[in-house]
Amino acid sequence: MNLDIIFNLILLGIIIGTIYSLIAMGLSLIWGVSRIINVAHGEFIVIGAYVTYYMFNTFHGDPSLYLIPSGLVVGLIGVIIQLLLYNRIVGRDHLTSLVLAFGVSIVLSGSMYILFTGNLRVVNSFYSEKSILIGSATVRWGAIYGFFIALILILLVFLLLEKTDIGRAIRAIAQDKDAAILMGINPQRIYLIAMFISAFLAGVSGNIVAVLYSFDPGVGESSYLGISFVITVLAGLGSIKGLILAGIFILTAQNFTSVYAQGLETAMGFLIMILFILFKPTGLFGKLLE
Amino acid sequence: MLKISNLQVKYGKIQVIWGLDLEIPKGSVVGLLGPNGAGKTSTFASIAGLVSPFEGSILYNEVEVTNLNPAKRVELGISLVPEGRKLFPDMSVKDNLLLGSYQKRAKSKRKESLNRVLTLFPILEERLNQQARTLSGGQQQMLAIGRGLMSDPSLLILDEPSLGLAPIIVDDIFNAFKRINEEGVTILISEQHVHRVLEIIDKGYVIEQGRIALSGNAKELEGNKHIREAYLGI
Ligand SMILES: Nc1ncnc2c1ncn2[C@@H]1O[C@H](COP(=O)(O)OP(=O)(O)OP(=O)(O)O)[C@@H](O)[C@H]1O
Ligand SMILES: [Mg+2]
Repeated sequence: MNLDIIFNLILLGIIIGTIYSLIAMGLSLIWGVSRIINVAHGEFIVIGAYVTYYMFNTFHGDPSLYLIPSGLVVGLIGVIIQLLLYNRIVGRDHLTSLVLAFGVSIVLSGSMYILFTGNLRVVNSFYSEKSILIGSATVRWGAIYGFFIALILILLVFLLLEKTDIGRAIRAIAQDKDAAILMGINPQRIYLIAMFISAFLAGVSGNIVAVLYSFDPGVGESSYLGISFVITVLAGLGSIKGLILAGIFILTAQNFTSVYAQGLETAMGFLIMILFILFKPTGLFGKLLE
Repeated sequence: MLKISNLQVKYGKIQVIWGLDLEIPKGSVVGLLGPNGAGKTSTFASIAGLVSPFEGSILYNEVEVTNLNPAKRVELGISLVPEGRKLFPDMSVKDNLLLGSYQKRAKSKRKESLNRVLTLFPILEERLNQQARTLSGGQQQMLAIGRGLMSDPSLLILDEPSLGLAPIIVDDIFNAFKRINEEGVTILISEQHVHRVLEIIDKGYVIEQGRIALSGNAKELEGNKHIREAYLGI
């Protein structure tokens, strides 16, 4: 293997890995704050992709115009699901919330098959059709677009969590709910806000995914949920730094796997996760999972 | 300022507070003394709204607060510094303090409150950006008290604040309580170290097995035979 190839694999690992960090961020946030493993996260992403797809086909223009709308639509759906369902089971054991979230996931993907059919969709634009050369690597503009959007959003979430009262309250609930209540923080309100942020991020990720890849209602589960889970575990709950490093690490590892042992990329991701669960269950930087 | 009548608390089927009455005059320091498991923390949790009593009433400044949620009580000026501190260990000292002033009324006085806390506990100013978990036990207790003050309370409730601390540090903390009280904050404090707390309280209640066994001012309690035998060891 020559140096050029290694460079390309790492470069793509960084670019796509950062996008996947954003994809995983919403899952990680809800897990840390509400202790719910929202396995419907993949469907949230795909709904965002459909919003972008239909708006693009209706209004045309640049797909980036539909970034915020995709986030808002999915954010709203997340809020409704939180109010109707998840708020009733926060604080219960993981099994209860997992079963409920599985139900949500199945209903959402089923509804999408009915509404949008199972045909593969693509958003054909400048982003998917044109590439630039970085060194010897050909990188599609969609990846560059997704990389910068992901960086900006991750930074915004970081600032929100670190520098604002709402962000402090979200972290407080994640660390010690009883103490947070003592500060006058209303947990239900924080769960709702965290869910909006999580679903918004999923919707925005959906826009990026739509610009980059083809999709159907099933890819939420097959392509995005599993890897979000892997990245979240690897990062450790409650660490944004961990999320970025884990995203880049996993995607780079998968890139190398695709060269040496094509077809085993997904297995590689899970293998790394299992190793972490066995030997470092708190992840790279996590504090919340003991 | 605070008037509790006939408070009864159950956890599941087990009743732990049996008709407790307690009155705290404005501006005073009142002690709630008693052995392990007597019900001090449960009483405080009822005042802060963390558990709901199944019987009885809690009046705060003539307002019935028995069924208000904890946030509303913080807003009204009740602040609990819990047993075991309950800091946010992975957050900075500053974030811990700022969380104390999360409520609207407190937020508008955030700068003043922060100054007040840092004047009271100057060591916290040096540690503002450190994680709370890196502080010593005494500093953590100071942080917990400071965080409680950030909500600009008129009633500060301290649940066994000296637990696990070295005697010199306990002195510092008790001195701070005196100063806080001089600034006009009413204090309700629970302690197992009865002789320490008798030095600062105006009035004390002794709670045993969920009932008030006796009450009186510091002098009366100090002279009481039961107190001397059971708590002071003399
Ligand atoms: N969450 C709970 N669930 C069930 N029982 C509880 C709970 N909290 C306290 N108890 C019980 O209620 C009784 C009173 O406990 P409480 O913590 O109020 O006493 P305390 O005076 O604060 O004791 P300590 O000095 O140990 O802090 C004890 O018998 C305790 O075991
Ligand atoms: Mg106690």
